[in-house]
Amino acid sequence: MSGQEQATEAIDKRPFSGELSNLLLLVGLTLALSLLATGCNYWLHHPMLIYCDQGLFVSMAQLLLEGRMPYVDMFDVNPPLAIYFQVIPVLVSKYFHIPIPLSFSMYVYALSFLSCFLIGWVLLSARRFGAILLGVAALVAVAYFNQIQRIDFGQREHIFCIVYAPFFLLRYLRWEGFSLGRYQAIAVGLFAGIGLAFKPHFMIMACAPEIAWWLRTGKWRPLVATEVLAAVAVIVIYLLHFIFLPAQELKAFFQFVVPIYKEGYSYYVTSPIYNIATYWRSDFYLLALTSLGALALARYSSLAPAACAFAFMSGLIYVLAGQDWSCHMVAVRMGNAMAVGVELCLLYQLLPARLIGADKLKSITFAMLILGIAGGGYYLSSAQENDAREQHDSVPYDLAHLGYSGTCPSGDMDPFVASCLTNSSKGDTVLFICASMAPGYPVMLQTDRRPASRFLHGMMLPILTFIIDRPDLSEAKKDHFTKDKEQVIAWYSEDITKNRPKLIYIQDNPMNWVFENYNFIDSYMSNYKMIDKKDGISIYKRND
Amino acid sequence: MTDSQPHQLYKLPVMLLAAACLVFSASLIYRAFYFMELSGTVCYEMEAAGRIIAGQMPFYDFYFDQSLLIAYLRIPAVFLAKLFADLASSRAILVVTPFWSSALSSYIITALTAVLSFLLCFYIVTSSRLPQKPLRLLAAALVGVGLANFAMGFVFGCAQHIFCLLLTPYLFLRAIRWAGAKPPVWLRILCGVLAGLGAGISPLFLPVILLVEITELVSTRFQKLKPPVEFWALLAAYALSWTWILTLNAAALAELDDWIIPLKIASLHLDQIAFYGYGATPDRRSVIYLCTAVMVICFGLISRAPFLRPLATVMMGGFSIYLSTMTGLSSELSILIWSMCLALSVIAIIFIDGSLVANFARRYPYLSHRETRVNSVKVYLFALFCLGSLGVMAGCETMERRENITVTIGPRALDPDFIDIETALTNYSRPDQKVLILNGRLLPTFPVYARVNRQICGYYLSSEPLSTMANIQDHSLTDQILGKPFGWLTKLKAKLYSRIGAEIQIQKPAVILVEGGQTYDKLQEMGIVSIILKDYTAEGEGRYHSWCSGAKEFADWNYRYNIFRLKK
Repeated sequence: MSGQEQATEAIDKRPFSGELSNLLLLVGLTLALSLLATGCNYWLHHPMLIYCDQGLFVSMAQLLLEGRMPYVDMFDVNPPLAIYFQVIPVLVSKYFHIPIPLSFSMYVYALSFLSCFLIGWVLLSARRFGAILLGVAALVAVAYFNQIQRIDFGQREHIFCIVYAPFFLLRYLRWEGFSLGRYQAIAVGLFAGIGLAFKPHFMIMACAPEIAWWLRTGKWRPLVATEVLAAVAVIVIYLLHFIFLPAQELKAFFQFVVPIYKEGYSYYVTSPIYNIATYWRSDFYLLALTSLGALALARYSSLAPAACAFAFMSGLIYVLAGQDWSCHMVAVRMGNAMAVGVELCLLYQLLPARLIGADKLKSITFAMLILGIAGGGYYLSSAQENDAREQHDSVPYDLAHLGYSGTCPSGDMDPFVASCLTNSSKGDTVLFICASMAPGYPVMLQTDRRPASRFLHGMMLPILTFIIDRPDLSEAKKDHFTKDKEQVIAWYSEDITKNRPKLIYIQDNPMNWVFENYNFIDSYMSNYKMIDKKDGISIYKRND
Repeated sequence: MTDSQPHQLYKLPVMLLAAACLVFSASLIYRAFYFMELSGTVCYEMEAAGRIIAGQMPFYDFYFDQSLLIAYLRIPAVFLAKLFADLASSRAILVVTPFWSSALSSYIITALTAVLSFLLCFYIVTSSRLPQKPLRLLAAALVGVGLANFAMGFVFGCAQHIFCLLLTPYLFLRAIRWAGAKPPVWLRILCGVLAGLGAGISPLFLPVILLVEITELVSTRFQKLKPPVEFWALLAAYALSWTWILTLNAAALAELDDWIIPLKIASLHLDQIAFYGYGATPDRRSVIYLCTAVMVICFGLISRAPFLRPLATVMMGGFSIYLSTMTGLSSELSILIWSMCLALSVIAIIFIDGSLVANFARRYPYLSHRETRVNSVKVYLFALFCLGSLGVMAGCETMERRENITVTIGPRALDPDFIDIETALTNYSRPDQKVLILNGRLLPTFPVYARVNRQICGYYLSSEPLSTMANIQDHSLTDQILGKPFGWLTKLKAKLYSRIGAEIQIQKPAVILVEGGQTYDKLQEMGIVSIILKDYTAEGEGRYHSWCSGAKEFADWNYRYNIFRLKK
């Protein structure tokens, strides 16, 4: 088969009936919106459900609005965009008096709806061409991907996927030579730029499909298209904003936080085969399968190979990161979802002509419409039914305890919420010294308590201890990081004295190891008494 | 595949073919320098082959969890090893051949297979009479065969490597067929038979070949549904490759059916933390990174170079096998590495032949004033690619060797109480005595058994069933879930452990090494440790310090072995 013959087989630019494409887009958009509405409905019924990482950034945004300085008055390792991004749900929660977790989930869904509409807008440019079929399949796949998110819902990786999806489809049309509107490109580029700026390696993920398209077409011009410039502009503005940050904040971030995490990153690293072959093995199998599909169907469209390139590069980032954290797999899942959607659509046209008729595009459209309406309807009703059953089976938790009206499933509340509510009052400060963000977050948000320290979680302590214990560390570095650890402990003691937390939660393992030579509890918590021990965490309450 | 264009002048890419021969020779010579680095899995299969020659019944007289075909394929190497040992008049060989002779014979047999495979591929390419473009791609892939042999590292000769060697001529043949060439029937049958034989090495291998065929069928819209001769030959050889089942007696078949296969299947879908540890592992992340790069490029180039499709398909098949075996060992990555090397070479020639180089030459007159100059630049670039690839791979291997030296010295430097388990076995036993290692895994039991030149005590060449059984319990799997009658697990557990206890009491191995953690705990729970302590003295703890190059295959600091020495 020659290259030219293959080009004629590609369905991306094959002419297609305008009315049918309008109908397909309408049905696809309706199905995508319905999927999102179903997902949104789930979160509406779980107004207090928020997971640890997401909760931390919302809390940091809350503190930011109160005038606290990141990395000085509140410590974390992530660049500040994740904090700025959560300002809106905090404001909404404050002005409409709704729980922050609910405000957060609605915010994420608003972004998902916006993303969906942007994709619809982008796909309008492909009307009357075969590309709209694949675009609609990708749109529904993206909506499905958003709808099934639970534990990673609202993670930075998820937000990235939400804002990147329209950009990906726009780029597909750009590389295929469709004429696209300038405003459309700018809007989509700006939207994607925010996501790309979250973490530096998101840009690497986004580069993979660009490389695949560039190699396929051999063109250079799409590399400097309007949407790319708009996205780059957002990243540049974000980078420039560092110049205007207070010197104290920059110094704390770049000279204190970053060196510690750089040196101690391996504390959280687990073995590569454990990371890829245990919990998320099925995702990698699916990646291999969709890649095979993309290889087999590459001559019909560039969309599936590009989606697989994105998924593969995201998989590489997951392996590079070195942990088995589910959030790092989110982008792989979106790539897989899009590839599956597009490949199913392409596979249909491989059916014998006598089955699907002479006009294959028309035939695929009818198949998609039937499948979308019947299959989508069935899926949506069963998803609703599951949610309703789960709602019915759950024990309701009265939100009046927290100053809100209504109920939520009691399972949504963290197990430590009860001890926190019983032993402290609204407005009290509480301190969690734990090796991860959980269970401090979401407890702080679910109980509306105030953090008692600049350290919102205790990750810094085990990392510093791990670095100091490393046998290969030079003496100079050991001294340096020992001083850092002493400084962190001094800050903790200062915060305890100043903010007088009502409750202190200490995770026994690894904090017993961390505080081995510091006599922390006797020295700094003399007026605290241990009231309970739960799940390896000791709970201390202030005596007075 | 690109259609043949008979009007084009047929011209053999001599330089590429010469490069392929040079790279292939270099790879065999380089591997010859390190022939003593024999993979544990090869030692295991050679041990099984040796026992078959000695008249033992597989599965009944000794534990083996692979297709017997691989053991039969090792028989020539075992004979050769015995021959070398006899020639060298090694007095140590009563039953076990010395390690050097096993390693040398394994190298020779593998190298001969590699030469046969390469020559077949070479013949297929040169006799295909395809047009320039596809011919150059195939010739580049031939260079990739050389690189791939080089890249096998210390797992040179492992099962996946043998499979790749047997599969590659079939891939080349299919490629020229898709491109429109008409090779002779004998060649098609020969390639099919070799590939079928390769596929019979493991049940996981045949799907790789099927995937290649299915992917190609889908990409051509099922135009050529009728299977070709070579595919029938493949299927026939594959069916024949399982006839070893007929050589088993009823007792061996019962063992195989009752617990060996069920446990093996369970081990493929359970989290085998004992296989790799939580915090450390054979770290082959670099392979995943390179695989990603190659796949991304393949996604872009696939429509222009369809020959990349079967190679990328084999890559994905290899990647899936790597995931499914869950050990993370280099020997499980060989298919992926092999196909990646072939794909990389093809990609290199596509870039060199592509418009980028030509445009560059056009822009710089010094390079383009004569067409021959551009061609020279292309030749130099490809030579640079070959040398660069060989250099990078040799560099990586050297660095890994240095790392292993650190691993070897590191723990001892930190804690001199930990003796190397290999040293423990040789120090505490005589050549005529038996030894036993119980660690719940195949590695590093092998190659340690092979290196210390001692007989293995009892049934278990590998104690992997112990960790699988422990994992079944940890995952709370019941007889019903495993599709077995009620009480099967309890009976099997008692059987596995009581056999160990009985063998220790009867055969009295001079040294027993028991890995700490899960294996030791379970042996203690089943009363084996108390049996051991009656006749043995504890000689402290030991660790495995890998002497192999490559990744740190179980040269991990987590693993501590309890050393038990037979009382005098």
